[in-house]
Amino acid sequence: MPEVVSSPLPDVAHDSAAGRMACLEGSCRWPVSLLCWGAAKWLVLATFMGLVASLNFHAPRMFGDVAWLTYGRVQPAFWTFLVYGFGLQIGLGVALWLLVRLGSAPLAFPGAVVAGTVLWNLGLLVGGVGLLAGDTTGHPWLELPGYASPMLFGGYLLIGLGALGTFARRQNATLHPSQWYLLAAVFWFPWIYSTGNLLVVFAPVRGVMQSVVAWWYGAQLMFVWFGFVGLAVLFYLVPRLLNRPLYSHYHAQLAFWLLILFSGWRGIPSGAPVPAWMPGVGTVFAVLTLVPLIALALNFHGTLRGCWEGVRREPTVAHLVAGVGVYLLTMGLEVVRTLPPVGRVTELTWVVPGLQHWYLYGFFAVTLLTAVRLILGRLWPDGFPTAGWGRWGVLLVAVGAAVQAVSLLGGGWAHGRGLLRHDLAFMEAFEPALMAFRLATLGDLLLVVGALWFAVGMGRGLCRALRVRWAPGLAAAFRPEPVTEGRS
Amino acid sequence: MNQGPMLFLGVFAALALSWFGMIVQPQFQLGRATPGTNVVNTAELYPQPRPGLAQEGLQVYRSLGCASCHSQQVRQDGVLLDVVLKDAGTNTPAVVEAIHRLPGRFSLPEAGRLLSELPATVLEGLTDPALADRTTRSLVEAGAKAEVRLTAVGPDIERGWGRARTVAADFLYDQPALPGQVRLGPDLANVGARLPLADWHYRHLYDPQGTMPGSVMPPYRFLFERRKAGRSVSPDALRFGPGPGAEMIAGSRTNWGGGGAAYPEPVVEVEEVVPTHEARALVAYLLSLRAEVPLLERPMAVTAASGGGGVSTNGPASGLTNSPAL
Repeated sequence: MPEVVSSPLPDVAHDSAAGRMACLEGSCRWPVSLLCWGAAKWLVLATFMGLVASLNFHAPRMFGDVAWLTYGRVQPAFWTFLVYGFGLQIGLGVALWLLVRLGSAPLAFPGAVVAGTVLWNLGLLVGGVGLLAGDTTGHPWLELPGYASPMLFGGYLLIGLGALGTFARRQNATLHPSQWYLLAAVFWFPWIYSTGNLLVVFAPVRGVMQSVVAWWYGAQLMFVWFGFVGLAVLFYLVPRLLNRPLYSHYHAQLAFWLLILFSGWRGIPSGAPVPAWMPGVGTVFAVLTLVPLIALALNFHGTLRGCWEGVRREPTVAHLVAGVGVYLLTMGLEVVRTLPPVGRVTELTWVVPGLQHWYLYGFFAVTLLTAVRLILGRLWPDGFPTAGWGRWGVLLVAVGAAVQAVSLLGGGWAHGRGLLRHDLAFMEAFEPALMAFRLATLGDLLLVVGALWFAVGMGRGLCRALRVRWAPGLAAAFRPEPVTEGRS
Repeated sequence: MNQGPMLFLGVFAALALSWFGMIVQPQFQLGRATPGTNVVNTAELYPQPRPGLAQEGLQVYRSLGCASCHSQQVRQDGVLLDVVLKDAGTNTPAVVEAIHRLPGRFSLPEAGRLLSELPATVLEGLTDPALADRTTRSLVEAGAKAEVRLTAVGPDIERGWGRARTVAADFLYDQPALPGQVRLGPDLANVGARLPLADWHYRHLYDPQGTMPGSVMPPYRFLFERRKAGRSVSPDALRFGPGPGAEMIAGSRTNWGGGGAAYPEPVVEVEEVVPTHEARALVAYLLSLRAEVPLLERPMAVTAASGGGGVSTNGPASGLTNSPAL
């Protein structure tokens, strides 16, 4: 039985290299912590907004006099906070740390990263207020108004500069699979975000073409950005925590190229009022995605073979493995959903957003929050002396996501079946789904508690760390210690 | 795979492919669309821009996130074809013979009877266009006038949400285009044709459960002004309830004069609910949603009984939109 190593992460070799790695990680301590702390705050806000939105199904009259609390404004705000406030921010934070660690190079341009983080959060704050005031663009995934999205774009470029600079400074000759996935994700976003905002908000294309752009953008962000960052974390942490090698670099490479080739063509819903080839192409590529999914499943299965006892004993690893499971499951269901006979039932029901919620919470959030638990434990040993901090928060998020997913998928399916029966009026078709949607509020409640638990734990740990080592930390953030040894 | 530049180039190529395929190519096909000719009335272009107030209403619709719950996409499973005999022409025996030979299994006397009640449907509910075409041709060759009529089918259509599917052209002038993605409420693609009364929409927006029991739609009371009625109730105040006297009154409160006042009679204060400009714009937009024009990509039957009496533009039915709520 291989030994399972819990956090803090073990180093490659337990000699002077350990000290060097700690020194390297010191270079990203402040930027990464800032990104993670920002993400935790937005996660609390997003889950809270999700809860408020879901209350509408219990008492629709509750907010009838308050424009900014009406469902149509809270729902886009919830999604924007979750995607941009939490998802992209925590993804970038963990990506920077991974690039530093895998490349054995100090973080490049830490000042730019900090400035970018501030700009990103400022843009989101301005945009979030704008959303609640009714300035949404109306397009899913691209809701942020035109005065906020350039701030996010600029912020991302600054943070991305740090990521690419760190990658360029790498010291190791061989690239880890996680580095491929991270580099692709980091590069992907500026292109799709500028395309999306230019063609939908600033110089809008005509008619339903706007929706085509927004659908394409949403699929890219979901399948490529969130998927790749999450997979990068899993490819690094799962083998590392189990103290064994990744089963197959070849499988990881195959999955990488196929996912990147196939994901770009998906996203147009099957019933959309567009020429039929667009959703048709999406369905074909969705089915082809099964090949990289099988490669990923084999890879993780091979890596975990013989270690299941260890996974069961160590909650940190169990959470990551749950992330793998939810990834494969939701991606598989996404394929099934696009098949025409199934799509006829599920399109325009809550099955579609339900799957997206599960993917973002159950796979991405659980994976990344677990990574943040380990990373902050390493960056601030004084602040997070115990390995178990935030564990319950992650667990609650995972359980809440599952509860929500089961109710939304079940309710959405019942609703879709009802909509296909022409003898049922809309309300009769909706009735059986309503109970399920109300049950989803329980999931929302668990998500709020989980996010709060995690954020409070993180805040307390960071405060403790700052109290202990305020001065040296501050110095290290702005003057990364030069690394001389080991340069070729 | 250890070279950064190669990795970067590969990623770049994959993204560029997807970008050309899913953004540039659709833009060539859809983004350059222009209003087309209506297949029934070739003098009429479709779509037409919405009237001004309805365009303002689209912004209210966007701002309130109505598209979070309402789709504007009528789905269609297919079409059923009917072959209709319009005129028997002069060679009646040949036409009767032709009808007799159709797969409709008309006996000769039945076929003869059909000719007396034209136009008559000789074949109904076909799914095979080739068969419908052959049938029509055989009738035409016999000297009759016949045509194929299409009926779009699908649960959305049978539920009355539209007479055929929604197509890209319906959104051509909309900025933003909001086809929606979830149906937590009914589809609105043709709500202006389905529910053409502004008054109903005002009451529904103010109190959805009042007009639609069991609805989960939140009320939009903030789109209305609740104020003390003057000497007479405003003409555009909302009407609640069937009573003739109380019909314009949202709530009333009897205010008995203070003790020892000079006027002992009670003063009845009447409150009225009046739609704001935003509410008017939103309702004008909703009433302008009538995408029921036959197009090449959306064939549908045109009968005098259905539709808005020939005003099937993507605009409001005349005289309904801007009128006050009374």
